[in-house]
Amino acid sequence: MTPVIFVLVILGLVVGTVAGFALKAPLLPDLITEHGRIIDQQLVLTLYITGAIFAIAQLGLAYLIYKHRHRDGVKASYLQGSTKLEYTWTVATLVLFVGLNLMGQGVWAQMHLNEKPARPVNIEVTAMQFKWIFRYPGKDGNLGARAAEYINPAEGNYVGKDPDDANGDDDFQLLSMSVPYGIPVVVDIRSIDVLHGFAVREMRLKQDAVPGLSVNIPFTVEKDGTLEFPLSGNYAADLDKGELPDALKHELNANKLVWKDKASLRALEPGRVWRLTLDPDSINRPYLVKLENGRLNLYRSWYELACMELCGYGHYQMRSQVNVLSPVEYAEFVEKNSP
Amino acid sequence: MSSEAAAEHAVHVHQAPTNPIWRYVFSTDHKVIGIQYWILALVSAFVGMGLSVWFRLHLLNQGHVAQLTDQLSLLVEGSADYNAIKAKIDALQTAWYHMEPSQYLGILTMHGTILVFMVLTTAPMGGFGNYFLPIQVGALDMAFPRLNMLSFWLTFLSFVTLMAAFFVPGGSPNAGWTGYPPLSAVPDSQGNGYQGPGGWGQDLWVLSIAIFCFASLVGAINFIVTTLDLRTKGMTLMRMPLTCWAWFVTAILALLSFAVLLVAGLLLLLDRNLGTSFYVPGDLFVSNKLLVDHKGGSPLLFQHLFWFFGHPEVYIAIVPGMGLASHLLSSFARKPVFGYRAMVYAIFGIGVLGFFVWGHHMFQSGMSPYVAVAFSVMTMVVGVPSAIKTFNWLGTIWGGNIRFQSPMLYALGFVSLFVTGGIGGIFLGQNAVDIYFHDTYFVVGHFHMIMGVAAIFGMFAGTVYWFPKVTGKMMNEPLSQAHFWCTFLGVNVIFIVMHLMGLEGHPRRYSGFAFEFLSSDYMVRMHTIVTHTAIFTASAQVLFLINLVYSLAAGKKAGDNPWESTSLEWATTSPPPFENFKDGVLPEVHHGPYEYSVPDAAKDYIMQHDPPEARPATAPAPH
Repeated sequence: MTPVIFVLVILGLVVGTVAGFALKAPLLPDLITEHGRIIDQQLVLTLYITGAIFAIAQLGLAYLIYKHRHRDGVKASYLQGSTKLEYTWTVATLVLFVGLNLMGQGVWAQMHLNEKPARPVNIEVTAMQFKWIFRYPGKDGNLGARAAEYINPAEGNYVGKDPDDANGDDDFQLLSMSVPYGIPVVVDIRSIDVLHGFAVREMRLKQDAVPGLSVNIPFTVEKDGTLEFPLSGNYAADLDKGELPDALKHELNANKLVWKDKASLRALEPGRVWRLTLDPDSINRPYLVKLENGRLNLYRSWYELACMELCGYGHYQMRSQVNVLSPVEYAEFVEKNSP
Repeated sequence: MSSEAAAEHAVHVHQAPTNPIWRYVFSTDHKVIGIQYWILALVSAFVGMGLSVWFRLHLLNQGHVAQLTDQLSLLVEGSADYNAIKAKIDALQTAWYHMEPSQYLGILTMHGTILVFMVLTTAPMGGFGNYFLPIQVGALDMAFPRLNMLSFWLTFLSFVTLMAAFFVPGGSPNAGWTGYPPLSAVPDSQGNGYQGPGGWGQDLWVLSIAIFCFASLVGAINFIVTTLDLRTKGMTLMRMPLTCWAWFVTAILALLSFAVLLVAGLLLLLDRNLGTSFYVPGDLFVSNKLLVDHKGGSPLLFQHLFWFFGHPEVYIAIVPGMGLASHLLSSFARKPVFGYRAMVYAIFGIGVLGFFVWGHHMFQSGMSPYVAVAFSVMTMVVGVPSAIKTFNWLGTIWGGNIRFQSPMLYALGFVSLFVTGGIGGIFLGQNAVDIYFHDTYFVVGHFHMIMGVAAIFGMFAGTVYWFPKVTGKMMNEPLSQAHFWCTFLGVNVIFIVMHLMGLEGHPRRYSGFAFEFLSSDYMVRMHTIVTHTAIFTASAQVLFLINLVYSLAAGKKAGDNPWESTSLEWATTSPPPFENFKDGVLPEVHHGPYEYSVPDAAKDYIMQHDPPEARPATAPAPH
């Protein structure tokens, strides 16, 4: 009886696990960065290879358990090993594991080792218990100098901006991050107190923020948003006028998109693409409404940014968000926020 | 020392003390010390598991709170529905298992520390190793019995120190079991709102680990010397059971890695209390002020030192289980170990390579990205000896005649869990893929699977296998089997589901659901499965406790060799006499450790101390 139960349990384990991953893996969080595609390819390739190893090893175990269960009168073989077999699987696993690993080194080099892109959008990311501060260089493209001695929370100067450095005159800082799509961005990740971890699932980007270090990571966002759901009504005419029709409000609410203050609306490409921003005065959640194949679709252009290195009791709520803007909107964003 | 001289020595010097305090409490007898370590681990395991059930309940609770709060936002304030949901939320927030965020981290830190140090490091090595290494190599005791006693009591002191952290002002430390500075090094940075004398919990935590390191160093020296110098006549290295090889390699790992952790801990203690700056950089801005008394430290230095210990520590936890699994698979499949020599080389390979991969815990830490490439490749290489072991385990039962007694069930469970847990390592060992999985539940699922439950299945296996030897009584077989199935099913569900949560990017060490993607229906459903299964699996451990107590009181009497195994512990009485072998006369070894089903032999097993002629001349030469 025991070997049969064992076989069934292992069968259940293999089927359950493989099914769980097979169903879930295509549903990884939406991918919005260029380098992320290679990371996903490598992840999925690893999933296939390890899935096969997992199934073969577990099923092999189950098979052997059943086949060689105790039976009266059967004597075990006096088999002490097989040098040939052992050499074969040693070399095979070595080649497979190391080969798989080397395939992933390209994207690592792209993110960490290669020269940073020319003339990127620079954003300074400062982590502190328990918030994120994003500083933008303003129109001059240069960030002002910083030093710890200038940190002054009472004046909102968390990053320690040097008041005497003219480069910093048009710098501005915000609690959420906005990036343009299609243009390389370099984030400079740092911390002023303990360790933090900058992580955005959809960007396939993760980097610890370490006090005393400044780590630069380049990335390029490829998409303007993630499809949230198709809209059932045709609101194109109202949207062009900059009005949010009640029916649309109702539809958003029915899909659990609830907002506290107001919504703002503008046409990015009249008759085709509209920017819908919910809660523009507080948390500012940008969406896109796009007319595609005669239908309206709602796209979400903001992503949650999480802290992923333990930083104290507020770790779990150290959140911010990344807003993806069109290059034109981004230029306006810099214009609007520069002092 | 020749065995005759040793026997002589034993008869005259090695007498059991008559005073019970010296015999059972401050004993220098390796068997008593082994049992003491095992009991310490058992108590710690239940404490650690209890903590995990507590925070699992809390997490599920928070998931429900988050979802109800979402519903609330859709309703009109003050309406009947609104008030009903509001009342539900309030009830959940005042449940007995609700934790404040800082308390959650404190409990999480203690859970990890207790299990890694007091269970995974003590039981396989200090417990089983202490009791059985000397008997399996045919010695009267450890090489240094008094050091052995010192090592246990220091470990006990370390345990008490750690437990004290629960009760001091400020509560248990909340920097995680990895205790990364600056959070662990700058008392003000813990920011848990506690205003009294600063953070003794963290100091006690460091102190406890430092004491533990010292105890482990002393223990490791003892194991190494015992293995090298006290083997009985005929017990060549290549005739040692794989359990002994595993303890030997584990001891070498412990010797080299705990020394480093000891230093890391002492420096952290200095940073905390004497104003040094090994890990604390200058210009930190904590608790609303600039920290001016630190300059020039490096938080990454601690991570390097910690993981230089921390990665070998994984092997310290699992290698004894690997040795035992090999031993049991062979014994219960009635077959020699497949590729004994390869197994020995693989254990050594894991031990050596294990010292060159620590950086894979730090891919996203800000260390040099060039170094990350080297660590990543080395990590894949260390997967090879692990794969060799798995193939050889399958090879061992291939062509066998498997007896499905409970030790074998746990050993087979170990192999299955080891495979599942090991697979996760192929993802995490790749620096590129780790960008997505680092610090998610995927990591939590992975290390619990492999160094947690696989190692603990090794302990269960050891307990049922050796219980008859230690107590003279058999454990109850149906209870053991029921416990095995419940636990095996439970841990698979819990930790595979955690892998799936990691695939979704769920961050670890979060005490609440402040993010939208965490309070989704899918994620809360996953949390529900994990919490419910954890409660089920934890409850199933009561079967194990009942079994221990019942078997101790009323278990069937065990003979000297109830499993028909070959190694030397089965050559003596159950339980063994004080001097291990009758009258302290050490057995002489003539055979390899896994002589099962030797063609033309009288029985289907030849014990190691059987006379040379027990092995027929016609049989193929041993490995």
